[in-house]
Amino acid sequence: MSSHTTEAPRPPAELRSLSLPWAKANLPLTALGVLALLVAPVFVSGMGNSGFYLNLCVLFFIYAVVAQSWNLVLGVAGIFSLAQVAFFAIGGYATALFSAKSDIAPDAIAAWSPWLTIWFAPVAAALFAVVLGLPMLRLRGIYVVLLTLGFQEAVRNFLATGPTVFGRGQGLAPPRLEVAELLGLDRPDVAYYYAALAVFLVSTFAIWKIIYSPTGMALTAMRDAPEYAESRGIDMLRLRLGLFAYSAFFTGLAGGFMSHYLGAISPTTLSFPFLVLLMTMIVVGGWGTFWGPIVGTAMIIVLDEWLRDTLEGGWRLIVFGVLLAVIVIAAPNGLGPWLGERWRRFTQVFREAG
Amino acid sequence: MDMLLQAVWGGIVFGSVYGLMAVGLTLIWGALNFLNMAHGALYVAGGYLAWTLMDMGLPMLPAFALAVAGTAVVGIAMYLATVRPVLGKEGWLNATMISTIAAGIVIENAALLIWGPRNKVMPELIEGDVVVANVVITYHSVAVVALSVLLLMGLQMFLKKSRHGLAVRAVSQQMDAARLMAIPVKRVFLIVMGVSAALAGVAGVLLTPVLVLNPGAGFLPLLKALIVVILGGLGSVKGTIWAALAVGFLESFVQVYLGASWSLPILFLMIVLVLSARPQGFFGQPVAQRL
Repeated sequence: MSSHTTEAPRPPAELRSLSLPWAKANLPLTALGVLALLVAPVFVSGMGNSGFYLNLCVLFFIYAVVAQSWNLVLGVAGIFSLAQVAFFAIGGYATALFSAKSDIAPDAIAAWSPWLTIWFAPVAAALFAVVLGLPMLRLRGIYVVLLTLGFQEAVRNFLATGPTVFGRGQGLAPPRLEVAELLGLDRPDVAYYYAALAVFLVSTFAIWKIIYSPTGMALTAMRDAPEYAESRGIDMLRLRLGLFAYSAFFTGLAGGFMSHYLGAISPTTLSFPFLVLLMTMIVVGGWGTFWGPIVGTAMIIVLDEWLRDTLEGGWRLIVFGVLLAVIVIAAPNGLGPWLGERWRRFTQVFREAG
Repeated sequence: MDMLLQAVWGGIVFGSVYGLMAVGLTLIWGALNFLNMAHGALYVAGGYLAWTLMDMGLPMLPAFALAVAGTAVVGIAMYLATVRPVLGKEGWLNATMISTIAAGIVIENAALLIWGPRNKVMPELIEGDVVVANVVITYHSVAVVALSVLLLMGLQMFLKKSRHGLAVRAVSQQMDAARLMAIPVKRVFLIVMGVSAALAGVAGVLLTPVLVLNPGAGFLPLLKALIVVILGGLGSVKGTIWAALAVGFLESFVQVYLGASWSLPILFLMIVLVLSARPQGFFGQPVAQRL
């Protein structure tokens, strides 16, 4: 053996991020961001309508978790699954079922502590994901759309008309988590902010970890060149099944948290408009990227709030529909990458001139 | 015996209407190769257009005909606005899926703004019913079956005998070769889109008197049509018609013998089983001869 085969050449700088997808995060910047999120309530809680802004933040944290985990399936792995909202609802019901029993609502099974039952949410969602994924993930394209859409409707139909433990059309009313008592804070909305932030940070870290890992690389390879990926020894079904359950786990957790936060869960959670809203978040921000769903969620939540103030009900979804179509047609990679590309072209003029 | 007859008649009615819905979807898949997620919204548009035209005082038949033509126009406009710009580009399968979902949401919410969330009552084509062996058969359902069969036969004739139909089949088999033979592919796409939307409109006009007419009423027909299309083997018109009958009968029998709330779960279970065993559907054919 000659010596030059043992020493691997270093990849050129512009390819390094591709050859090392599991490269480290920018630690100082991340720490700064987390710190900003931690101290934000101190400033916000002094404002006049702080409850409104804190509620928006909680919605952002929870929806961002759902959008990110859906993006993992939709964008990173390229599986066109529409079942994410169903996993969200399954999470909500799983925890409500065991915590919502009371004298006025005797429908549910038990009245255990929500601190215990909230862990049923991610587990139940992941289990359902495996059961649905086994027949579904062998198939491609339109079949996946059909099965996941059918699954969502079957779940909705079953919850609305099935056994009375699910509370039928009324749904269930799980108790709120006593976060304020646990954290020793006197304002429950601030306490909920921190709880949602914790869910957001943990899920985001887990999803970041997957995207920038060899597994994430394998998933992207599977999306872009399935035959090649398989011939390189990637076990397609097992990897996809694992990812599907992983993504459903965090969505279920978000759903469980949301049901305790709102103190209610009903079949209306499984509405098609909610699905379109989440899809808009992913598409606007840029699917298949790490930052896309997070940025998209923030943009859509702000836009949604603004539309609620300025337009009457039906127009909201028309605006989102038009936005979704325009983005898909004009900037298929999402607004973030699109703006980045414009900026690069814009500055290139100066670089060439100078 | 009564229940059996009831179930059989229900199966024929369901089957023929699902056929109308699903053939429209299958035509688009076969020729243009995209999944029209706004098909349910077009169904709703057909229903509302007919209702409005009759509300304005038009007699029933002209109102229905105009509504169907109007739905075709809506469908073509939707195609030009949301599908044409992405067709053929990188990642177009997902892009068309998302843009038609968006188009569907826009159409449905426009309907919500214009007509409100309450159910509208559509009149039946022919009032009255006849009782045969204890089974109530409304004249409307007879008309629905007759019209569906006529339309589907007409569609087959159009595809097999007419020059335009020949062009549609040529495009769906080999688009590049068709273009080389000087077939105006873009115009063929418009024809297919118009015919497909018109079929959804007919289904909307015929089915809403039996089901309900509200802005969200298109979702279930879309789901059923998807099931039928996939069961029949994507893009095969003949397979789709048989699959529509099969799904119609299954649903009707489940409703009569087990109750209506079971029909969707059992349908879902069946499609999972079928897809696990035969991913190309019951009548899936080689790619070259789909229509």
